[in-house]
Parts: sequence; C-alpha cells; structure tokens
Amino acid sequence: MRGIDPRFKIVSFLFLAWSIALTESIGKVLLYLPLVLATSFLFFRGRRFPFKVFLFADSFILLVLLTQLFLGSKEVALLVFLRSNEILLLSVSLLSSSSLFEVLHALHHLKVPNSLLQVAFLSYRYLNELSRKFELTLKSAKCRGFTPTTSKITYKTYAHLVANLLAYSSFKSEKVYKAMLCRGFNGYFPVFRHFKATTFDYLFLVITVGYGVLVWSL
Amino acid sequence: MHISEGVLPGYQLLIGWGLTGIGLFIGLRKVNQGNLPLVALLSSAFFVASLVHLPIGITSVHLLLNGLVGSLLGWAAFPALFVALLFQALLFQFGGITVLGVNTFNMATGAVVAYYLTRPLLRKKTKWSLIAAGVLAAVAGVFTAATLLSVELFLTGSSFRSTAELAFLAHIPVAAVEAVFNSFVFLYLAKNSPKLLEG
Repeated sequence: MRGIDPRFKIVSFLFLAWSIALTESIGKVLLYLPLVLATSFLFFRGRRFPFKVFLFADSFILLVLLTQLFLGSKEVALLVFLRSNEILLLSVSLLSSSSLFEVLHALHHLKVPNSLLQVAFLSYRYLNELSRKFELTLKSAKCRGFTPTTSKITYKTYAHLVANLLAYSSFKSEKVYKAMLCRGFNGYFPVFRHFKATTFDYLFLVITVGYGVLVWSL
Repeated sequence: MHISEGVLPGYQLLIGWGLTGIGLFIGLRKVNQGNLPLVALLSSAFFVASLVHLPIGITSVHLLLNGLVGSLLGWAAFPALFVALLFQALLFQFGGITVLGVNTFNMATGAVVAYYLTRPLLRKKTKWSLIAAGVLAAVAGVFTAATLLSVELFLTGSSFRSTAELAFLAHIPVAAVEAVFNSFVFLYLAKNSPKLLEG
C-alpha cells in the first residue's frame, strides 16, 4: 500500500469515504466491507493492528453507540458504527500509509489552494520541534517537583507552559520569516522527490472507484 | 469533542464544508507572506497544546483552546484550526476527513466569536481585563462549539437527542477549566510577549 502514488490513494479514499458517509442503508454499507477489508489487509499484512488508535478514534462513537443503544435506535447505532469504522479503516490504510508531507504534496497536485498548503507545510515542519520543546519544559517542571492535581497551581503551571510555547512560536516565526526572505521564498516550497504514476496506480484507482460506483448504483 | 466519521447525514457534511470554505476564504485573505510563519507556528503550538490533559477530579479533560486561538489570530483561526484538525485526523484518526468541514466550522466559529469579544479587553492589558478576556474566550469558544455540535446532532434525528444533550453537558467542565487556563495564559503573554496580544 505504501508503494501506491499518494495522489491516487487520496482520490480513491475521498470517493469511497464520501460514498460510505452518504449511504443510508446497513445492507449497502456492508457491501463496501469486502473492499475496505481488502485494502486494510494489504496495509496491515505483517503489522500489529493499532487497537489503541481505534479506541481513541472511536471515543465519540462510543458516546453515540451507548446513547443509541439505550435511549435511541439499535439500527442507527449499527449503521453509525459500520460507517465510522469502515471510513476509519480506509483512512488508516490509504492516508496514514503515506507520510504527512507526501499527503500535503499530493494535495498540492490535487489543486488544494497553495496558501492553505503553505500554512500546513510550515505547521508540519515545526510540529516535532514544538512538541519536543513542550515535553522538555513539562519534564523540567516535573523534575522540580510539579505533580498535576486538581488545583490552581496545576492549571497555572500548564497555562504558563502553553503560553511559553506560544511566545516561543511567535519568536521563532520572526526568525523563520527572515530566513524565508533571505532564501528568496516566492510562495512555493520546492520538493526534491516528485510523484510518478505507474500502471499499477491507475489500476488501483479504477478497481477501488469502480467498486464504489458499482455498490452506489445498486 | 470532534464529531467522528459516519455520524452526520450527507447534507450536514456538505453544508459544513461550504461554510468552512467561506471561513477559509476570509481567513486566508488575512494571511500574507509576513504573518504566514506566525499562523503556521501558532497552529502547531495549538495542536501540541490541545493534546494536554488537565486533571479534574478523578478524571481529566483535554482543552479545545479554540477561544484562545481566535483571540490571537482572528479570522486566520479558520486556516490554523483547519490544519490542526487535518493533522489530528491524519495522525490520530481523531475526527475525520468527511467531517473535517463540520468540525472546523464548529471550532473556528467559536474562535471568531471569541476574537470579537476579547479584542477590546486584550487592548487594555490590565489584570482584570485579561482575566475577563480569558473567561470570555473560553465561554465563547467552548459553548459556541458545543452548541453547534449539539444542534447538528439534534438535526440528525430524534434518536440523537440524548447524544446531543450529553455532548453539550460534557463541555461544561471543559469551559470552566479553560476559563481559568486562558486567564493565566493571557496574564503570562501580557508580561512576556505582549506583541502576541495585539492581534
């Protein structure tokens, strides 16, 4: 699954996800399952299934399921559960099998506005740095005896850590802007690796979209 | 709380994307080459900060921080929150792609409301005006998002009524904690990085 061109995976995902999301009958949603399981099998072959990710992602669904089962309709609960998890499986298999940078690069080819992608590219570029910085300051606070409890001092400490991160981001953004000016930034981020579609990519797109059209037209 | 994939009907997903498209159009017009790094880095910082869980009794809550984003970025909160929610959907499968429009609209509308309510208070920069701005940002951000989410669930069907009520009630402790949290953030920023509060 990792070898497939991300542009084709995104188009395929969007088509299937929207088809599933707009389906109102349980029977039809079940018809998408073989394709979803096949793509998931290709992705998860030889890997551990990320139960934790699904549990975290399904936390809202859990609320919906519980209220539907006890106070609403069991059919709605089943429909929502199937739709949600099928799209989730597709998302993990098709989108998360590429790096975030590759997905953003592919979105550029799919004509997503450049200004929005510039924000996304830069955000992604500094995500790890800011995350590390935050973890370091939190670790440092804990080394000094900070223990999170339900108290004013806990909220104040966390607020100061976040505010410090915001102040650092503002300071860093000035340096980034100056660096961009020095390097003659013209609104586009150059990339060194370009996508090259193969016959297999086209075949993958035709099979997945074709299957989606077939189920949709039933 | 973000709506997951497969919950809302198609018309709501499409309206959500339409309204987010309008918000992004206005928001991106406020982003130029000069403030692009600031919007992007603040978007990353909020992404990191939104993963923080604050203890509350025997459980913990994760903050929305959309009111805080709005107070600092104004309409540029739309692209910043869109990017942060896109990353959450791609990295943690939290929320989703088809519901990204609805989730962005819910969060960013609260952010823009918070921006207009807190702007005059943040300009004053007195202790009490900053505290009031923190409380207002939390109330406007969290309750706008919670109300929109509950209305969307309510419109999904009569069987979703209890889900909508529970979802709204779950946001009350978040708003309370976030009000305290935001006030401390604004007080810290006024002392150490006042430029950020100028908008």
